[in-house]
Amino acid sequence: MPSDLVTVPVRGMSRYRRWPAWVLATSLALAGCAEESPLGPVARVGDRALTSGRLADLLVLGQPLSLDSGTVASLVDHWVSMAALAQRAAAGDDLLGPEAMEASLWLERREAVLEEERRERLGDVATVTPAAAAEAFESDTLVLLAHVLRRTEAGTSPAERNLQRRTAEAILGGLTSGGSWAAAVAQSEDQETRDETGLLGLMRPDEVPGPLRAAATQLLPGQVSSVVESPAGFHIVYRPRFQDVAGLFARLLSERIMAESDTRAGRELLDRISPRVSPEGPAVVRRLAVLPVEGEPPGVAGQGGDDPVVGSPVATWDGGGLDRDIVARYVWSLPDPDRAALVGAPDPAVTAFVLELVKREIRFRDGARRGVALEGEREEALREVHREDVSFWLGELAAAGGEPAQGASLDRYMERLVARRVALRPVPPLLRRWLLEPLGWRVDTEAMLASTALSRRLIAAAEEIETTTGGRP
Amino acid sequence: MKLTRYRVMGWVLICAACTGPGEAPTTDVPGEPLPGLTDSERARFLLGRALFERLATPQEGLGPLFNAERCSDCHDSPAIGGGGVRIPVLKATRFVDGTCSLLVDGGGDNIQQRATPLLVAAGMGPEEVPSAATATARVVAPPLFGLGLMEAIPDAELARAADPDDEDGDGISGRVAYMPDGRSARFGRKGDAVTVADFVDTALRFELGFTTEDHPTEERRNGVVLPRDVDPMPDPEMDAATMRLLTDYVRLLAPPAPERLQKGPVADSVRRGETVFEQVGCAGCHTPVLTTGEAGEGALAHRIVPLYSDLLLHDLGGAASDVCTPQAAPGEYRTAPLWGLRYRRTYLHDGSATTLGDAVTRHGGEAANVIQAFGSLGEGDRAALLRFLQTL
Repeated sequence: MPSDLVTVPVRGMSRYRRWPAWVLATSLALAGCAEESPLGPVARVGDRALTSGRLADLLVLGQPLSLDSGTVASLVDHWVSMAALAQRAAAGDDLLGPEAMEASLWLERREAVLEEERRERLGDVATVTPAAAAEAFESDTLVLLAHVLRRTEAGTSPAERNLQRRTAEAILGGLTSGGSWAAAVAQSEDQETRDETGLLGLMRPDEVPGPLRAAATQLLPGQVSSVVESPAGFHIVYRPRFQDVAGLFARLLSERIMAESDTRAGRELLDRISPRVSPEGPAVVRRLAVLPVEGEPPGVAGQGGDDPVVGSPVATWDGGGLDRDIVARYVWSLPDPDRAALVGAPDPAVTAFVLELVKREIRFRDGARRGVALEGEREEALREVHREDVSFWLGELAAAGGEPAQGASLDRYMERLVARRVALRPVPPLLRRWLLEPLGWRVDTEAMLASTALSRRLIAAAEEIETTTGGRP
Repeated sequence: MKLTRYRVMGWVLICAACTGPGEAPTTDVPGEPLPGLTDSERARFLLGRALFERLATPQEGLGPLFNAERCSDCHDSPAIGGGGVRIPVLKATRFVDGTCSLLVDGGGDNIQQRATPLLVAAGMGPEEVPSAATATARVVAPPLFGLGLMEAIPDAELARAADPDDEDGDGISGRVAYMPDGRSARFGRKGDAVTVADFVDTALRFELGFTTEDHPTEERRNGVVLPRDVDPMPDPEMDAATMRLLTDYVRLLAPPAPERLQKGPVADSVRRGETVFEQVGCAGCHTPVLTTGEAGEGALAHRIVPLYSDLLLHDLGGAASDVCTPQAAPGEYRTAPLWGLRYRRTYLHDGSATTLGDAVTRHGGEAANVIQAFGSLGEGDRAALLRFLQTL
């Protein structure tokens, strides 16, 4: 049985750094809803342009990449980020300087301070002794689960689905014949959990995702499930033995207790201070959520008085207010699907989001008053994350073909990205905005739709040749 | 008739009013498709390229014996579809009494240097050089640019340039590489593949370990049949439609355009170098242009192909000898096309020459007179010739 589940720190607040490229959620199907038209570029950043034809080529090259609007938009979004990065690097701007560092790490620094503040405030509430952890593990009220996933989608062909099933069965065969869990996880296509030994987390049985629940809740420690199918693909679920994960289990249990305690304290805080969300607050939040998609950042292209970042606080309470620039940074740091959801969310949901930010802002200010600050080691670790990211992006551009200053380098980078189906490393949203600030940029969603439609026609034409002439024109 | 690049331009202009070959379909950026493809051809090129870059797994057919996990691991310089020196292929053959053996009973001439985990778990590792081998070589991956154009050159054009008995007495006796079934082979450094599809099929089988519809039997390890349970994917591991996409990608890769130079001393020097190239006899084998005939795609049909090769086998002498094929003795090689030379950092089939001058002087055999002429060039002419080569 596998016994090599190792403890890996979970970087929950850095989700956006590790998104798999092609699994971004979306629901809008584009089939047949756009015709090619003589539109301008899909995107333009400074002196670089992503033409409709080039995007269509990328979409064909990335097959079987989903052609839904969310995926296409995320690809364009990444092109915009990398075009800005390449040009700023070529211009000699200091991508490792204080401004870039501040933009890149604002959210993580803030979240790290909040985490420290929470730990200090809650103190021993969440101290979990080894004996308490063992008792919780034995009680089965919370189970620690990991999984291996071979991914399928709604449009996956029966042959590919069958291959994925057989692959999952082969992985399971390897496990039952004594193979290691690490080796099994290495073949997982869930990129978010693959780097963390397939860890799904610590959860109550009723929190286990539906299709996996029956299999997962019957597992005894040390057992793996049979192959289970869900809409995401074919899973093998593993429940590790306590002795293999005692430290990890205790830490996750502690975090869970602390989170629950903090949630209660947060509710009490809001009851106490009774913050008031301004009448235009939800609309401001929605406009902030729309901005990054539509193209022009605030402060650029003469947005002037319409700039949603400028104006009265979004929420106030006795002795304080939630400034718009803080709200903006949080909104822009959200993953695309969450930000898109915010755009269409009803007022009560947006208000709840604002109140969550109010809570954080008060906690952050309280922490600052108490002198809570990042330890030097943690600060340096965050800086290193930024340095490593910049080095990675510039390295990828160079590996794709020469100096970032060369336009061909960006073209080649994008081609490699889609053709090799690797998980892209997104540029953190606030850093992206900093990169774009002096350049001027634009995304044309109509051209994006036309480009997607063109790629569909190209694929259909290629398939038609195959079916009618056996591949020969 | 031998045509230099500049003369070709004049020829094209003269023939513009008649139905002669169209201009050379090259691209300034390596790795791009041929200009003038239809939408469906372009789409097939892109879909094929996606396969070319796809990382294969044992569950999809990789191995059990293999050298690389995707085509682009070897063919990525200066762009996807180019050549590469990172993963040299180990070859071994036996050549005794004028007869070449590919050592089929010992696992074949391609010594696969990697094995999948399942094969290793079964107690079998990568292949070893068979003891019967008389020669080995480590060859580098050739660039694939322009192969579709090369394929579309009629056999008759190759046969016309051949002079197997050196009847013209110039010391150069190129011959067409004929396969046992009588077809002429123009691909591969030894002239051992007839079509691009053959070339792709061979690479898939020997470098990635895929079985195909034409060759549905898994390779053996040094002649020993592999256990059934080490290969999870049923044979053939690659279907014909996927093969055709990959093949179309390779067929439709454009050759790189030569360097475009502004008028001035450098351009003058290059022009001089081109003349010297002809005068010393390089063009005797490195024929500047051939022309294509009929082809399925308009972009390939009736085109000037500035490949700088006659696609014939020539004896380069004992110093260049290593492995053999049934078509080519150890010292015989198909003339390497020189287009795209400016993107290469090492030269010759094994990448052992690090300068163009070194690559030139290591030609022997039929090239002996040419090399002698090269050696007696003045410094200026020699530099001009090398600079010309660096524009290709």
